[in-house]
Amino acid sequence: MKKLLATILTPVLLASMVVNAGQAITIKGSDTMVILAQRWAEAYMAKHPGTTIQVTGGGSGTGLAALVNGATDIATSSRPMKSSEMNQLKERYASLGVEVKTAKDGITVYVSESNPVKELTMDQVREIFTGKITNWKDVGGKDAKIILYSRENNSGTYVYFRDNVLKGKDYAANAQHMPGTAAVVNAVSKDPNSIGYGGAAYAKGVKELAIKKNASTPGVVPNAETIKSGAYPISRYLYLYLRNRPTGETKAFIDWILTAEGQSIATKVGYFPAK
Amino acid sequence: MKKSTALALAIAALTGSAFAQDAAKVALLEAKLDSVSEKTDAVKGKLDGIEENYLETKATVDKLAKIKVSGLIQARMEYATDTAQLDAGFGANQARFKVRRGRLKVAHDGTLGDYAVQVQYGEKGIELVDMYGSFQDPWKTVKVRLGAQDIPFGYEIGYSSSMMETMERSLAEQKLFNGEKDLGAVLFLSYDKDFFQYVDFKAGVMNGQMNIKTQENDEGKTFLGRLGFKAPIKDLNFEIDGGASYYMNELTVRNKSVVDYDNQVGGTKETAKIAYTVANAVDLKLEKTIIGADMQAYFNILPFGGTVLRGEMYTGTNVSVANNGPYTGDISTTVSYNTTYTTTADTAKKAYTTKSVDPKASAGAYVRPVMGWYGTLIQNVGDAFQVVARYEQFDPNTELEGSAIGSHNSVKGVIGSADDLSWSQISLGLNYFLSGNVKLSLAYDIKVNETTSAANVVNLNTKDGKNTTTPRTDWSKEIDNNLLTAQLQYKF
Repeated sequence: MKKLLATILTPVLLASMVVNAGQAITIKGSDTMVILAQRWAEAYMAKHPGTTIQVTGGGSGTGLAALVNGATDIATSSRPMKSSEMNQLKERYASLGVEVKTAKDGITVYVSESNPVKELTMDQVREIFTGKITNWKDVGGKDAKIILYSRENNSGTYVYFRDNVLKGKDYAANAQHMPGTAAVVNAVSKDPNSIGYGGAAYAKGVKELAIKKNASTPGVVPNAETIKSGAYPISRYLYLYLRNRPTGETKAFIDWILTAEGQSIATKVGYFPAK
Repeated sequence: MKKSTALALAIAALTGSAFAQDAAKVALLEAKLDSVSEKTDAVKGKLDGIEENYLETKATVDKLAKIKVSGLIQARMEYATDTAQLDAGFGANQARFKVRRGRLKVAHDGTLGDYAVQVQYGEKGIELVDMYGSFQDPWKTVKVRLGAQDIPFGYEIGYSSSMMETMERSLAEQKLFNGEKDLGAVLFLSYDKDFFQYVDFKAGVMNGQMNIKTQENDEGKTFLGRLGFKAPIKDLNFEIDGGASYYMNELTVRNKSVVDYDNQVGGTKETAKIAYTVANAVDLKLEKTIIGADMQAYFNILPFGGTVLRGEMYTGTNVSVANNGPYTGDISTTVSYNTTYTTTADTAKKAYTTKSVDPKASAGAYVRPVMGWYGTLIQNVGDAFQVVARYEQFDPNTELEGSAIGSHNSVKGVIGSADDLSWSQISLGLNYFLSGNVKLSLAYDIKVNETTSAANVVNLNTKDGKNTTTPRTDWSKEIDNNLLTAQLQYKF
């Protein structure tokens, strides 16, 4: 029996090593994390000229699907892996997947800089994005219809916002779904009656609202201190997912991301250290 | 003319000329601006048109994206180490090609519900294996599915055939729930939050025929379900999943006699058969009751791939009925008597003669306590390779030892049959994932049967209602019936 197992396993192990040798590390997934992953890749490749790292976006769901079908080595995701996605990994790779928390992010609620509203409660945000509140005057603003900008449903930000802010309810039917956070910010900056959401790192040319957990608590603006401490109510981790425990260059890259140097890049991009 | 006057006139002339030139330029610029504005309007109009087309196309694509077409083919070459001993019957050949499964599925993931129909080509020809519709709440926590579908029991029954690491499901599953499908209604409960993300529940009411082509012909229904859990330890990359299942089917018997090893319905104990028999069993209600327990442990410890240990156990009472269709004639005349055993002949072949009676009467109903289990180790090596080893046992009649099976009693006939022999099997396999679509598999199954003490036991096959005497099998020794299988699977 031992000989039989050795006969089967030896060529399999060798073939596996040959297949995995000398390839570029591919990273795919969260649009929120594209800039961050690119900065990490550039800095790491500068320090390790022999290593090639390719980064693409597409959304957290797209990245995790690519991880399941073997199209990427690492998936970036701005939400935890769903149980349905983990089940696919279990079935195909006999694996739970490996999760690495790389940074923290606050999901910022943006409005136009000309909008007089400065803060909203979590309930108000939910009612606005589910279509229950449709006019700014209902939340202390001017008498104008609220224009909603959201992400598309393959986005981890979309899923996180729906699950944690909308409490699982669907977005209002009239919400416009944009292909990236940058597109949401751009649209909101040009439309004085609009509201959108996205990663804190993208908030340029728009006003970030302070968020109140409920009507009796003070509004909290998203910044390094409030997001790290958890005082800002809409914060989340940014993840890397792999099929198996990382080895070789992939392990070295991930270990480096978690060093002070890697984490400082996350801070420069606009996110916050994972620990 | 004074110099100053001349200079003033010259400046005026130049200025006038400059004004005239500026005016011309302004006019030119205005004309260009108008032209650019017209062009911008034209481009904007085109963009609006493209956006409108895009939105129309997107709406169509979004609708089409809800329709999912998937397919699967599992084409095999099988090599048996002996002929004519396998359940499927190789005949005189030791090697054969076959299509184990060829499937085409169309599903629609709609609003608050879904639909699916799946057609399969296999050993039974072309058949429908799935046809169901379901509805669910907006939060996707409660779903009810009606139609032909997997029964909600155990782990391997619901496990995708395309993802199976071994060639077949376990022996116990194949004998107790062959086909995995039934007609009925199934409730699914799951909630991806808080404590509830670690548990799930599914339960159903089904016909109990385990054959979606067969119309229900008695009032008894199957009640079955599974309560599942998962216990992840994320920091260790370790998780244990599991579940407990229950199956109860009430069956109205159409047979004259019942051989009952479980004393479920009482009756007279026949020591020669070590069973209770009921003299007139027509319309008697029997219960097939199976309890299942399953567990799966996932480890991400080894650097070259994930590891899974799986185990599942089935135990309870099985009811086997050969032909239990609705009556076609007068019971009192068509169901006259069951098989008669005579002692007039010396040879085993002549010892059992069958009267020409209604097939539903000649086919006996059997109640047997059963027990089966398997343990599987799956080790991925890199992304492309997977090594599999499984050990399993199935005893279709735990009341009857192998040493007793096949002994002959001159009055009551033979004790038990080949259907009462227990089996164990070791399966070794290697899977290679050539791509996301193609999987190549090689497997070797070592099947070991329980032996009897009687050397000259016939293969009493009660499956089709006949006491067959061929092929003859000497169950007093281990039968050489191992199987080597090479399979190509393509799925999309």
